[in-house]
Amino acid sequence: MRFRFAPVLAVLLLVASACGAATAPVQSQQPSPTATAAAAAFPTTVTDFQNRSVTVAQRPERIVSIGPSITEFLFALGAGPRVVGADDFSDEPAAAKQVEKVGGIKVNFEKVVSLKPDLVLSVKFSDGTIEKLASAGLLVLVVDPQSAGDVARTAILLGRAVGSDGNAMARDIQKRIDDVRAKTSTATTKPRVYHEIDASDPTKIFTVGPGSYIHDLIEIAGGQNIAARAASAYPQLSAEEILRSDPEIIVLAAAEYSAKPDQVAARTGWSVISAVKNKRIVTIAPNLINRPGPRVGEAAEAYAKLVHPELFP
Amino acid sequence: MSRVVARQVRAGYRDREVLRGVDLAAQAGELVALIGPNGAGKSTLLRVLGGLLRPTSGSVTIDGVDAATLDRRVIARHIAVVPQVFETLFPFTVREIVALGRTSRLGPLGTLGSDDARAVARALDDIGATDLADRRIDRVSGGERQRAVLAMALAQEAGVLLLDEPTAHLDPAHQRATLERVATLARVRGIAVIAVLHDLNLAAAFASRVVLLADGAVVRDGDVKAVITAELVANVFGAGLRVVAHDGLPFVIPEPATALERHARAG
Amino acid sequence: MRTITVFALLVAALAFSAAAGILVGAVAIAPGDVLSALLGAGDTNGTIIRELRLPRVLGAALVGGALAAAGALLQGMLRNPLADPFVTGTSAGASLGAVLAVALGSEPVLVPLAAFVGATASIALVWRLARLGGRTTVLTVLLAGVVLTSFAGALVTLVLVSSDRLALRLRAVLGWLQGGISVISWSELAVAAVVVAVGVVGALLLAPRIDAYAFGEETAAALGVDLDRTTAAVLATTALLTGAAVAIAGLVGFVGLVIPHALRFLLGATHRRLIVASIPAGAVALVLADLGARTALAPAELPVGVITGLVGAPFFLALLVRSRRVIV
Repeated sequence: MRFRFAPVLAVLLLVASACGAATAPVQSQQPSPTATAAAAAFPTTVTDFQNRSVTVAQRPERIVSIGPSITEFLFALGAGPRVVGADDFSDEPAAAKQVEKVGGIKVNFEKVVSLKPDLVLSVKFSDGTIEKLASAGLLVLVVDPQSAGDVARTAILLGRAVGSDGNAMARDIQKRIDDVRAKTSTATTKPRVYHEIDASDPTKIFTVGPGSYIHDLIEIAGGQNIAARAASAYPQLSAEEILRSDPEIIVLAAAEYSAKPDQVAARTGWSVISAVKNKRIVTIAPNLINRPGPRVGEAAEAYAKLVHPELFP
Repeated sequence: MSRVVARQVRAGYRDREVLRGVDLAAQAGELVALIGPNGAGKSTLLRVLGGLLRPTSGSVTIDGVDAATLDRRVIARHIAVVPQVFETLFPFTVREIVALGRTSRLGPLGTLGSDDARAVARALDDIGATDLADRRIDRVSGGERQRAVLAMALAQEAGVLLLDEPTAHLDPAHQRATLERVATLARVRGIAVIAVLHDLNLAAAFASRVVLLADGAVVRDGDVKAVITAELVANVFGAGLRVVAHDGLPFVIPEPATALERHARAG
Repeated sequence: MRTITVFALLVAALAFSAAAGILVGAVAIAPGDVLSALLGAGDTNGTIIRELRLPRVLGAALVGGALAAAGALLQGMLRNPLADPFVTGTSAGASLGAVLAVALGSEPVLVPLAAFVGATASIALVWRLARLGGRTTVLTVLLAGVVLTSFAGALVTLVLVSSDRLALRLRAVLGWLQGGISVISWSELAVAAVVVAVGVVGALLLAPRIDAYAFGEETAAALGVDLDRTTAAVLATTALLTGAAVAIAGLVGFVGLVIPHALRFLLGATHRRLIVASIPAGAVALVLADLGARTALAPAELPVGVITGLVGAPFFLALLVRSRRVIV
């Protein structure tokens, strides 16, 4: 009986998340009560983000996590003590920093294998890393949350895979997001927001578009992404388009590779932009917005504070 | 008056010495023919005289001044060198090529003035190449190119003209005409001309003086009849060439093959 | 007579292509609005036109003119219609300078300057290398350029692979290496224009002596050219022109090669005429290439070097076939 629910549920979740991504991403993810009861049972079969159907035979005790948001989820689900290896970028929560490191952009295969994991959770790789891990006999699940809508799905999927209650987490996250949304819907304005991902090449400025996490955050926070009609999740804009769309708020990640507010203000021609004129160039913690993770509620609140400071003093 | 003088010149290239102590002088109005077998050092001597190759010892004076003290621009105003090889991929017109002769006389702005235009026109006329003036240098025949390059040297209006095989690509009529023109120019304008010639008969017909060079040294320097003799020709060029007199001048004719065999068999 | 016609046509073409470059952009602006923007309208369109598009079009024109003039100069001195400012190793030095600047974490505004310094240093180095063999012949300059390009290219790869900082800025560096007129301020444009002007004056003054190289260096010397000084002056002028171009637009290939080559068919080989005509011709080429780069795959921007390469290479092959000679 349990076996039959799992694939159906997975399909439902997939379909639901696909439909829900454009508008109200998180509201359509309502896990069924039966799945909650089944969460702690093994063996279980789950469908990962690459549509691979993977069977987890028993409760994993040695987990390797490749992806900072995955690591955050695992710790938030209480599986922290069972994480024996994590990627270089996994630094949240603080305890994650103590975990054995298995590589950054390039995964150290020998290290992963030497840790003898019984489950490897990883983000997507296009260079054959997943296949290589799988061919080494390891159990691999690809978990790659990209938007706010993926967060609940990830919580539930990971919960099933490691034997924790992901549904409760999903519900909590949902509540927090709904609270923020409710508050911002009372706002009288909907400021135009430009979130800069990368402008190191001034002829190729990258921002966020539909399907990306930050775009979702902007919407939840009651802002209007200037690239809302773009065709991809990380579209390229020209300086001309940015000037024309005249954002009222410019958001930058407070990272060392990002531009600083005064640099942005000094860009040729940008002085006509409202955000520059009104000195509304703000920064936000990169780890919060770059990783669709369990702290999405916190991220939504932080973003909403930037967009509607009058509602979140 | 000697316009260019080489004294005890020793010169060569990285691995070998070519000229082993050469003395040579050319006077205004002379056409000196420099003859000798391949490898004698004729082209090398021309390079040294033109200031293009520094001698390892000895000196070259130009109009009384030591060439080693002069810079390229000044030397070019006094000595014009016409090389053997002149290929170019660029579509200059003949007139533009001749105008290159004025390079050493250009002012700081590098524009050609009326003096330059006059010199170019005169040079073209001197060589009889005025009809070629607007043709492209990469489209004319080898002989026409040779005449254009000669005009280029004349446009330099230098007191000394050094020619390396100036008639190599010309037909007999043009060969004659060119050398006659050069000899006349030398006389009329007081230019000293030194021409490397392989054709001993042309040398005999037009040179006022002949210098025979072999193995990097001057064998004989003097009047045509004194240098182009049967004995010297045989010594320097080997057997197979007969010297005959015609109209008071020596002429060198190659022996036909059968005569050579006869002589060889005779011992 | 014919020269004036060609020059007038080129200047007219430049005016038209510049107009096209200003009228077309990522944001659609009506021609009437463009005009009022040029006349000083204070709205956003005005800023877009005056601060973003106009400097970019002028920058493209400046880069194209500088590269074409440098190409004409080098082709004359090296007596080789295949010569290109980059043959002398300028591109190698420039890219190495820029990549090192990024790897060492310098301010973005210093990167073009580092490129310029790299370009100049590499030309000086090639000059020294070429003289090691004794006489500075054309062949030794070409070979030294090839050696330097390979070596510096290897160093660039090494730096790219080993620097973490560069991993983050990789896109920016690669984009620059492929050539692109980035956003340029009026002050940067003014500085570059002054440098290019000095280079152009130098090139025009050297032009008559370059003509004398027609039959080779020995004949040039016989005609009165001081070879060492002239070669040094040509390399220095090329460094100025190419360095300024690279500092603005990164590596843009083929303009320095094709423009003088094509103009020579029309105007003959005299270098003063050739250089004077190469400047507007190169400017037109690059303004149009930049326009193509901005519009071909809109909204994405192609690197300008891609356009010049895609158009320049077949063009060059056509020129070669037409001249029916094997040019070594």
